[in-house]
Amino acid sequence: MGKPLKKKDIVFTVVMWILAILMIYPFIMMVAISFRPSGQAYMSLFAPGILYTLRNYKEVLFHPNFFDWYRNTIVTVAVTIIIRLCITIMAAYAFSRLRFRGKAAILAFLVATMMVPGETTMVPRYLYFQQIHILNTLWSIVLPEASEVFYLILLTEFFSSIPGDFTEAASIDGAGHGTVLTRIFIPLSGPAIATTILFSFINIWNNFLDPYLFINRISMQLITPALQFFQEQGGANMPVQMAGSSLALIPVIILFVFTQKYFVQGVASAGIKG
Amino acid sequence: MSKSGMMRREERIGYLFIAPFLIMFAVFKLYPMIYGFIVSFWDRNSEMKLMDTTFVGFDNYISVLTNHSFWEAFGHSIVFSVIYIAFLMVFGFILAVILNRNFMGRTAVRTCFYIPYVTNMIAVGIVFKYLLNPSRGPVNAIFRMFGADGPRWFSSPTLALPTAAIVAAWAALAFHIITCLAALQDIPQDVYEVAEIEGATFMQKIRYIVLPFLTPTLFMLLTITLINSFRNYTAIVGLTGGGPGTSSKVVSLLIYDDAFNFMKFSIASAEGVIFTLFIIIVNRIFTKARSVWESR
Repeated sequence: MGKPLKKKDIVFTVVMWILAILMIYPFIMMVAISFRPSGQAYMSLFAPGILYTLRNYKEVLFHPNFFDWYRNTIVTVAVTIIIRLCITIMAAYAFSRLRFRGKAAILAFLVATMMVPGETTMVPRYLYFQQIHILNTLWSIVLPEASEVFYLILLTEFFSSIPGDFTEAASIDGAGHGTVLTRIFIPLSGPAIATTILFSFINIWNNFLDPYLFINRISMQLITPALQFFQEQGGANMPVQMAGSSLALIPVIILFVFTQKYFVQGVASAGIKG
Repeated sequence: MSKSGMMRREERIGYLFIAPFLIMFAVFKLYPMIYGFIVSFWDRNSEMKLMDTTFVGFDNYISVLTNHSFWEAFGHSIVFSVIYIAFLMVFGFILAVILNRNFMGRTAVRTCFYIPYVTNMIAVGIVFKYLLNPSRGPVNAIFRMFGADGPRWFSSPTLALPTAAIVAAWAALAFHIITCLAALQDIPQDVYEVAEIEGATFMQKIRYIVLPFLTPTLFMLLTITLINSFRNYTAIVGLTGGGPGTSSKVVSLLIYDDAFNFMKFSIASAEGVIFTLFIIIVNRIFTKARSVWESR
């Protein structure tokens, strides 16, 4: 609406920018305090006489288990994403392209189970994982995370939107379903697969409840629940906690800023389908 | 190959393709849900009975439903959910409407609004406990500038739970904003143009164009948020730990405590089953309301 820039528009822009800074103010403070000596934790952002130090990061990085937590988290995220993609892509292909009895009922049942929050099943999950001896291993996170209905719906919807002509042409040429899936569907599904990877990364990285429940050995822990160790250890040492939090959040925030497009697409498509 | 032969082959391949997903789902997701139901009828309620499989009927359910602390936690969960849902529905919509307007640096501003969504509630909790520290935090410093003491936030028995719900909702805003923005962009431009010619005010446009167009989206968001509002364990642990006292102890924390601090695994399972049933019922009511509204 190519109107000339009015005073009202400038005010609006300024207000929006102030709101935006307020939105990330907690994270600005988090990073700022992480560089301060503990005595200055509660001074305001631009207070005069603030000293900056790397001591807090040193303390976090020299925690005997810090690199274990990071490594465990990366391994868990990577393995989960690989298994999740393999089994979910196959199932999504079947649900979107193949006719078989009970398809709608199975899908409806899977969607209905999404209503049950992990919170209400934590006890049986713990008891059961204890029985099958996967407590205190990364499998207690990877195996249950592998089959998430949310991603099945996301990919099924995407596959359904691929025009039928593509597959028909391939079928006439005598290509089997495996070929159609790997040669046509997967190359066409870049955005949906990127969204799946991105969401998986963020969710597993930030997962607290499951690793907190299932992993008791400190060296096997993941980064998000491990943040509690800095809280227990130095309840008063705010800057060390902030340094730990920064190191836990920054990889996700950076990844997000660079892949926002897929994130927005994913949320919008998940949202609109309902 | 005959037509029915083709069909049967397609069907076989279909089952083959969904099998890995379904097997993983059945073993690691569905079975634990069923197992919880089974455990809730056993008597695993002390350290001595961790392997016990005695059937005790509805004993655990009766003791849960007659227990004051369950109803207290149940009430807290509902308060948390109501505040969380209300905040998200209202501010998600308002922010989407204003972020839909054109202004300089809109993309960067949107990014700032989305960032809290990708952070975890433990780190968010660490920061907010700092920001809302009653005596030394920067938020109450603002109150002191005006000569007031400022609320005690997480250390106040009345404010801890609402504050936690709002912080958790703040962190989840991006989902609502993005969903509403996508729906706003689907409103045909000429509808606005007509309204412009008719001389409609901003509020009239919201009332007669935006809200009717967005109602299906808002209903869908409401359903999703309702379910998400019960996934509150991490938020409460990160922000208040259930305190002060038990003033912000929600059902998920009660389940955790009963199981892992008091070794009452069957009681905790029964609490899980009861709360799941509650969620399913509330969700049914919402779905019904939605379909009644849509077929009006």
